Amino acid sequence: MKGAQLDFDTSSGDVMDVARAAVREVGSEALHAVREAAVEGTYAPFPQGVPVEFERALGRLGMQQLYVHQREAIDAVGAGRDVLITTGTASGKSLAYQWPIFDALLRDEHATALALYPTKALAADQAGAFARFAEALELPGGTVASYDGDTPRSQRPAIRGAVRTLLTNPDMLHAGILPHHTNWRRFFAGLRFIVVDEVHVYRGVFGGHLAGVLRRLQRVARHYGASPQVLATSATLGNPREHASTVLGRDVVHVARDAAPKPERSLLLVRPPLVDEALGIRRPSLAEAASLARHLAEAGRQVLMFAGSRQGVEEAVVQLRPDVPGVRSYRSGLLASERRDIEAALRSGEARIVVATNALELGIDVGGVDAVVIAGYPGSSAAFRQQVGRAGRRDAPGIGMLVLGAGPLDQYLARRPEILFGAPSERALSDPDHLLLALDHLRCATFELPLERHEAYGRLGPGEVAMLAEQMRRDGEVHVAEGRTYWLGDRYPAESVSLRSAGRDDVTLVTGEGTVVGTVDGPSARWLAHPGAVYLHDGVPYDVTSLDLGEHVAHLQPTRADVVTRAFRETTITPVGELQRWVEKAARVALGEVTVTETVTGYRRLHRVTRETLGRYRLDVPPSTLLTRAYAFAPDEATVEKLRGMRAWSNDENDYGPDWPQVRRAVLERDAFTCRHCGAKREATAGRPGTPLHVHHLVPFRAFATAREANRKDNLVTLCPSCHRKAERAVHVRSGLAAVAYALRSLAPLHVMADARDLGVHVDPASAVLEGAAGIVVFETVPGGVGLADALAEVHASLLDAAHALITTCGCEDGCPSCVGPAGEAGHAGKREAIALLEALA
Amino acid sequence: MSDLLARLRALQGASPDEPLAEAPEGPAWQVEAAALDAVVVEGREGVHLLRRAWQPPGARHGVAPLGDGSIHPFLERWADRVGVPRVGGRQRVVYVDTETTGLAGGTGTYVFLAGVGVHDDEGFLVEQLLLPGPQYERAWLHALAERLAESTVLVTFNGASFDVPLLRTRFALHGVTDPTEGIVHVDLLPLARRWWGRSLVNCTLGTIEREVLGVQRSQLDVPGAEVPARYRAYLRTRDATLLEGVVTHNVDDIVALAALQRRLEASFDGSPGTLGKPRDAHEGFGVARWLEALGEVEEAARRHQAWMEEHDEAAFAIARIWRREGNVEAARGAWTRLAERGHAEAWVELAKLREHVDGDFEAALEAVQWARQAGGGVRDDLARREARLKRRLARRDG
Repeated sequence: MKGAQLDFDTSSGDVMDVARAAVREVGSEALHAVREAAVEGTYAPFPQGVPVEFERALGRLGMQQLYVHQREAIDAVGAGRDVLITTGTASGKSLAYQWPIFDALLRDEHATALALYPTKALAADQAGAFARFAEALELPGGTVASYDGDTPRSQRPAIRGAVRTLLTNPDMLHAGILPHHTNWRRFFAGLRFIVVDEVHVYRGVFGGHLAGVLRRLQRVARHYGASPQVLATSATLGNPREHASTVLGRDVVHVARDAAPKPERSLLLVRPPLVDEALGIRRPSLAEAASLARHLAEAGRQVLMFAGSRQGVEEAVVQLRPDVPGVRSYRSGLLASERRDIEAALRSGEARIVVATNALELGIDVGGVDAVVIAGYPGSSAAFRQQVGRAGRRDAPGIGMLVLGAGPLDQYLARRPEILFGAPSERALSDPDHLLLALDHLRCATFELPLERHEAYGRLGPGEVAMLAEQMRRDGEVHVAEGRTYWLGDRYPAESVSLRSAGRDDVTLVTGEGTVVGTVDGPSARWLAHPGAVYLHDGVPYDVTSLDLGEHVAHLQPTRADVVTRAFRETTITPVGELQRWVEKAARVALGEVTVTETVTGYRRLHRVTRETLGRYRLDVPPSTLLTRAYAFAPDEATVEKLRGMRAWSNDENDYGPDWPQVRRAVLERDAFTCRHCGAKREATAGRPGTPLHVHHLVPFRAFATAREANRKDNLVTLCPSCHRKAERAVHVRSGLAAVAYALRSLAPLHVMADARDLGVHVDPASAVLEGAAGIVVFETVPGGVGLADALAEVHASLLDAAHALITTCGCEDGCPSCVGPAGEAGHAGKREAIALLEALA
Repeated sequence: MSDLLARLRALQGASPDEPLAEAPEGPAWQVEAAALDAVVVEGREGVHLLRRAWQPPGARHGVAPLGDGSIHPFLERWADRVGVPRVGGRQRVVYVDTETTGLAGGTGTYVFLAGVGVHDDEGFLVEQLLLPGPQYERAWLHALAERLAESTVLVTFNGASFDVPLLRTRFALHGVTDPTEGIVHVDLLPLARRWWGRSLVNCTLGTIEREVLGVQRSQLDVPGAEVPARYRAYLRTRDATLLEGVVTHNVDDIVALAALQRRLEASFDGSPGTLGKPRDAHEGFGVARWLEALGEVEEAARRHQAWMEEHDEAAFAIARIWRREGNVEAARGAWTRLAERGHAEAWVELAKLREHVDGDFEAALEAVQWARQAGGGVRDDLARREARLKRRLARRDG
């Protein structure tokens, strides 16, 4: 929040009143309210020696001066430096790189520039801005062009012939341009600038891939005698310069001071009300955010609502649509034309509420909106700043609200709002020299131009590169002669390397009439678009009739049912090769490479409104696998024994005793095979299982010293599965390990300053990673890992301390969503066990 | 170092590598050349293998002769529609076919064998330039460029989208002047598609040879998909016999190319005998339509008329020519017969006649509606026509 002043006087300003009124009306609570005063811009004159036609064009564009930071960037570029700009949303970052590009284009008729954007939509949007500049300069048509998978083949040769500023995405550069660089000889020979917009997006594997593509780009440019400068922009991060130099491969001048004016903005941290005080359960943030959006829209404000996931977006749209006109959804998986349409509706004001995933968080130029409502912490303070940065227009103050979710991290933020409002601290990590990534890009690089004898690749020296080349030779893809490595494979290596994720394999969603509804990536398709799933697209529910992962297609048909589905996912984690193992106090710790296999085993149908379970179903979907790095720990044998002695270890399988089958049978007969709660009967016809019935312990089994006591008939009752689950919610017993894992899901990302989505936490009663012991495995969700697991292993002790502090200071009695999870999920005694476990390991 | 390799294999989830068979020492040029019945050409920049094979004058490939090194002016004109200026003097036709390390295209796909066919005094000569390793590519490209420099017409099969762009990429990578630039390029594939696309199961050169030229290739032929692997194995083991099948396959392709050109020409140059006799009405109409597009309207009309009883499109086309010549009633007759059989485009033409010649808007509107029912025309076009007719009717009646 550089340049803005914090103003804790929350009484002033109409906009704040509007915001507070909306929060009051929905029954939520505004925890923190901050009014950021409007900020005046600070300006600098144009640099000396600007060409006449350039000055004239600036006049046409209505520009008389620059922001100070733009001037700073332009001067640094002029001095031949590579530059990173991290000023705020709408601070004119694009002008700072457009300026040197057009200056060069005017001075040198051979000069060209390449600009990379993370999405096609963003590139198309920026092409418009570039084209307006080019037009004002009276440069010939065709000087600026965007080039991506949507560009018609018939137009491509003309673009290659004339373009001097090419806007594209890394994927297209990787698979469509570099492998055919001879078609772009003129363009590469003149290449003066490479623009990389939104560098913070390229983290983890995507960042490593981008670094690989940029190394290849520089290599091809060198082949044609060019050595382009790199100009980059980023959202604010804890380590913007470090991250930029990792993925760009350059040491950059960092322009950070934002001199642009800002509208007044009222920011509120909103907490939904409790619906169950005893259990600490609050109204869900998604529904609450949607209600707030509706109230604000009804007060005449145009609202942009961010929901974390695609599913969230769809559910919010379903909730809003009947009552509010002009509700649109914006998310990945939409077709390009649908996106353009929504962007236009947002600009024209026709759209009153747009519910978006973070696809819109990136700098797509739709101007400001009156209010931004965010459902749940978006995972990083950079994302939070970018999202609320859309609130307010010139001279029109804006409202930004973050509706906190139930999770520990959101609750933690409620207590420590300075994490949100202070300087950002998240670090973007990326490892371009990861062996698998390096091999991928060396294969592509060899296809583009033979590898020279002593060629290096990033931190990998000539020796290591030669070793990877040897691997390619053994794979029959290259031929080595006179020290050079030539590509000889019959395949096109870029085709088999996807930058976005390993083996992404998009699945196309098609209706019975053959209409393409959208796409979903392969791993997500397994649990979003499995047969029997209800898939929501733009608020319209569809039944998924089939999923063919081989053909990358799922078939849908529209449905009217008021049903949503939730998949059951089963995770197994196995070590790859030898892990590092050591003992830290009473814990056995492991670190290294693992395979995470996720299987969708079945799913549950729920009523959309009441959330009542309507049925459970089995599924047979091929599993998805992820090779990555993990950190894991388990209490040692002695500690487990000690915890057992304290009755604080409920991780062992329940052994209901040898006579359980007979006891169970007797209870079922006593209750006449009828659920004692809802009256559901088992239809016991031959060959048909009907409704299975459960026998439930009224007082939990673990509460007894012996099985015989627990299994007394007056403690047993017949229930159907649905009623059984309701009953269990109150007395469910789960281990302290699950409770600790719950807390770690939020604390681990915070400890290594990572995005919550980059880590997975898995509880395993018999973990192969821990040589069969019961423990917790924290794995990186990006293939190959980027070093988060290693960083976690380093802070093992302080991580457990933090978990202990979080759980012991929480005011709840026996677990709540803000510490070890609600009693219904992590269960009875979870909290007590978690504290005992953490104290034993400390 | 080997630790790194082992780790890589583990990351890939792969089993350790099998050792590959390798050549014990460097290439023995004479041995390789002898295996392929070729000679070694050593130049300043490197080595390549050259293989020569002659077909005697008057040789045939199946039903077709190999021609005499000329090319029919129609073919040249058709190929030259991009407007490359003719280099004055005598034509010199070359036939080119390449073998490559893959079908993907892009800078990492090598051409390792180029076959160049030319007619000379001794008959039809096929020269094959084999690249004995990617490190010799520049010298090989120079040698190929020399062979092509003298020619004015390049004949290929699918060369427009495959062989020629690949060669251009290779020449560009090495900064060698591209000899295919400015040359008239006759790609026979699009013609074969027009002539036989409907009657053959596919339009590969092999199918055309078998079905049209009446040639059965030998069983020793290497399937195309195996070619890249053969070349890789040759580079690794330096066992040139692995390429025998590839080399003979390439010669056969070039011979077939020359014969195919003659067969195609015979179908429109009025040469005597049965060589150019159309296989069916599709070919007859295909040739006629091609001639029409080329501006040879008179000849096209003659052929359309000859096939009009057997091919509706020929009948439709001849009617169009008649209409253009002002023979309205003949055109109307032909279109009416077609329209009666539910030919939508014929209904559209009748609608035009009725509107513009007869001034009978009601009848024209009726024809438009028939055309719609027959599912023809560009929908927007029909809708516009219908709207206009209704307006005219309203204006007249009002």
